[in-house]
Amino acid sequence: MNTTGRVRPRFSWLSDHWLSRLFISPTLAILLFIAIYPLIWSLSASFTDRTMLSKPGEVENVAFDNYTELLNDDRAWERFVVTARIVIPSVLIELVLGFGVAMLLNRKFGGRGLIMTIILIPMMLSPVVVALFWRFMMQGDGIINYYIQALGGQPILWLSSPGVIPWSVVLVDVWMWTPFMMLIALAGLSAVPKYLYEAAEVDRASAWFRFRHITLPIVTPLLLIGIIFRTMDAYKMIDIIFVLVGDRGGAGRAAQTAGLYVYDTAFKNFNTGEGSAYGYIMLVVIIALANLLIRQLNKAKG
Amino acid sequence: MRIAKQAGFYVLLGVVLIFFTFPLYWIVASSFKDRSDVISATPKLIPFIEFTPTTNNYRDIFFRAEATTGTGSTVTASADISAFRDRLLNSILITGASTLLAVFFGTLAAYAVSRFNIPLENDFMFFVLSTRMLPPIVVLIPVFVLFSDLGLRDSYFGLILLYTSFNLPFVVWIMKGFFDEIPSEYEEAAMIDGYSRFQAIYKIVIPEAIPAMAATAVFSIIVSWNEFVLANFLNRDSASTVPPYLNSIIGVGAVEWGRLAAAAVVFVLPVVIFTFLVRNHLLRGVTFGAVRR
Amino acid sequence: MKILSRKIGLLAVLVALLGLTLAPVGAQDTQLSIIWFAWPPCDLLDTITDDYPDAEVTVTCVPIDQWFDQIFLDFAAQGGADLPILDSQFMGAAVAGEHVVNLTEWMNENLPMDDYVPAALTAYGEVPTGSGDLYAVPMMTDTRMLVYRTDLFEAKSFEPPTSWSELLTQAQAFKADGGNGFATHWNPGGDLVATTWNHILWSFGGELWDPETYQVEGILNTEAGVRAIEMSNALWQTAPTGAGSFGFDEVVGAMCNGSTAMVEIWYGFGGAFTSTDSCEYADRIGFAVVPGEDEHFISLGGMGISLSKYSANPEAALGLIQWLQSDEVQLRWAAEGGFPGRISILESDEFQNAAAYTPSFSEAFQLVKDFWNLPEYNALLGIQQEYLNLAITGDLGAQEALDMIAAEQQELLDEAYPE
Repeated sequence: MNTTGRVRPRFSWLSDHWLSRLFISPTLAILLFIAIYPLIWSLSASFTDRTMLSKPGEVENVAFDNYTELLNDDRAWERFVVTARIVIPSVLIELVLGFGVAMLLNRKFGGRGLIMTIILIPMMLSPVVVALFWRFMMQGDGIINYYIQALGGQPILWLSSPGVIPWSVVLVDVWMWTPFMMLIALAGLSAVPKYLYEAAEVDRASAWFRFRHITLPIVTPLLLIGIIFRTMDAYKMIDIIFVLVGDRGGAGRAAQTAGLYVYDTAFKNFNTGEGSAYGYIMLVVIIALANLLIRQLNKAKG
Repeated sequence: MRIAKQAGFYVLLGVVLIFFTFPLYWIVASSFKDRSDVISATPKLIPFIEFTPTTNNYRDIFFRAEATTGTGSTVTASADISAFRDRLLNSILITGASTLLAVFFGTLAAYAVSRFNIPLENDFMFFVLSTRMLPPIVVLIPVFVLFSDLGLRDSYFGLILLYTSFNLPFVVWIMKGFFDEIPSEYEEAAMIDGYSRFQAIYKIVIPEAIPAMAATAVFSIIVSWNEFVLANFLNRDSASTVPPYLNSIIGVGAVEWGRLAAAAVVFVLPVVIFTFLVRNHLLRGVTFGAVRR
Repeated sequence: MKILSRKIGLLAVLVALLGLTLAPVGAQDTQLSIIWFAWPPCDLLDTITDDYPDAEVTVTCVPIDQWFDQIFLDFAAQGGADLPILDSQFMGAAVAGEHVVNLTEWMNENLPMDDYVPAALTAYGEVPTGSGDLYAVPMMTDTRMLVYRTDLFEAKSFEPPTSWSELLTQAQAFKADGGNGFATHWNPGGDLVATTWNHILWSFGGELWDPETYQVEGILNTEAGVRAIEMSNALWQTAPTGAGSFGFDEVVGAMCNGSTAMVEIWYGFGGAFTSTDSCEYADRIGFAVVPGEDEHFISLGGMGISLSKYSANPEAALGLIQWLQSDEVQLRWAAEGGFPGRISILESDEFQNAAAYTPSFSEAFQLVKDFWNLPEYNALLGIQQEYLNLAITGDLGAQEALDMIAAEQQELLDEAYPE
């Protein structure tokens, strides 16, 4: 043990400078390899009239045609509205509910480890399985309506009414992914030092004060990261909708999100070029949104 | 007043639990039912009173998969026998490896970005995030082509690499967010006391970061474990995982509910067990509290 | 750290090598492969081809929602199975992309062409319609069937209906009693609602389009179409709540849990109604031919087996098709749950006695009709599916829906085929 006060790295040739490069490289290498090729391929495909039936040599460059066609198509824009109608409520409810449950679990009580694990299970199940069982339960004369009617209510057309369908999707998404926000909130809550709470109690601060000025500032950055990721994932999600209401988003295409539309274009209509273009438009939108959220994040970190 | 608060707390917890667990109960109960009991017009919830439980579904997925043809004669679906067992092992291997790699590399990278001066730091972080933005459907074809050309299809390595790349962004962002909350004074104090950077990380930072690492590990496991689209198209003939198999049980329209439920239960069990084992790490409230900004 | 990552890298490489060595090794025999989607007939095909003496046959049964994705991805990579089984509607795209081989000559030389139901040959394999060029051999025939509760019918002294109007009256009677009358899969996804309605349109004397002139407007949105939608809407009103989103599983469930008196679905699902373990009311279920009205048509289902352009063993693959189409194998196919395309097999005892629903099949299959077989199939279908579903559930007017379908489909066709 050295007591001269100088920092001596164990390997003198591994300065912080090299260490930082070393720590970053594997991540950078893996992501570059996997991400770059598809991004470039899709981008170049979006400038062509390529379809899944095209033979090499037959693919022609159409410059921005795919993009202009899509940007002028009302239907294409509508898909983004539908996407927002599903993603925004989902993420917001997941945030509030997840954080709330995390707070509930934050105090010591018997069996809280078990309860936490159980609440995490919805997130662990295969999305297709989850959607299938919810579809089953949401049938017109299925279990949910059975109990609603037993309690004197009217059956809800969860899966066949264009007005209700987006909310049914939100419900399933919330059931499945609230545990995610809860997990993040728990991680965030673990970073709050107890002595701060103790100090606040000594000063006889109210519970709200403690929450507002101690808990929230420390947990918010992590919650925001959770929101960013959850938004990105909900934005891309198609398998739950697929299974719940069909591959075109259900009656009146009420849940045909941008992601589903890409699937229809690229894989059902075999139009790879147009599908890639739409995928890139989706990418631009989510980049803009992510940027907004990141700015919020940086503000929250102060 | 105290009692009211306590009661309120338990009521709230109860409502939350019911919302999340009722469908889970339904799935588990279905795994013990014959198909006709699952789809009956009046829901049958209570075993032995409303329906006779059976273990046939579990037996079917592990030892025998039979399909009933239209004429009522049974043919053994030869592709399915022992498929589930093999796929389960593959899933464990692929998920385990990719999670380890993602958490390991991701935590290192996050630490570096948080503590050191990295050029173009914000761009790097944004790049990391952006790799998760493209819908998998769009990248399916190029990844398929790329992997075909590199001979990475039907391999463990290919899918492990792919899943690691899926999970890295989340690990990096969460761990960086977490490290940013922990003041660097601790490590610096330790290093002044003679610890090397490595020792400081190992002795001071990692223990502190365990809840966040556990959370990212759990989430990475879940993502890799359940990933379906790419696993289905890339690893069809060998090194195949469970999710595509779950899909095949679904069949065409006339869903094999009991068997599907049983397969889902068995498939989620390893993840549940892992989470239960690390639950205390996830729940760890306080950290150390002496020095603070 | 470096040492650790090097170890992990080594481990990964080892695992990769392990993965590579676990890949199937080629056998001495010729290897042939078939790809289909996962349902009992696929398993049956797998079992039967185990007995093929001249090659080792692998049958891959892919989950249905990846069926085409997988096949066309394989086409794009210029590989895949030797013998893909494609839904007839995707034949147009397969032929346009030159992924499948023209089999007309081979079939004329090697198969008993007179014995096939003409509609099966043209619907499953003729592209374009009317050209005489065949790209698939009928593998699995299918059409719609009427499934009904024998006990409920007996109680009311009903006989299986011989017209849609009669069916509606019966359904309404059951609904008035407090049960549900009729249900089918009106879901707007896939081709679900279209295949429940097209034959009603045809039976009412209507048409989807004119295949000669590619004209839709004025052909589809006529009075026959409106009457057909009104019929479907009336039937929907006798169905269980939320039937507008019914898929195959819900239709089977509605019959098997006893809540509905009649359902209409593909014969391919017959097996779902035979055992009381999986279907509580199986012992009280009967099967009948779907009725007509002014004319009598039933929607065609089923598919043919094709030869991939990228097959490494085309001759051997054709040999397998010939074996599968031989009398012996066809009789076995018919007896064990498959549906044949040959008339003599349909009329054979083996098929007639195979299951409770097979006798009505041969009659029904004489009445089949199919819809468009173009590469633009999915886009045309999407338009029809959306508005048809809304019209049948009463959320859109019948004439309005038909006009919108006709207009949009016309636009699409005019753009794709400017002539």
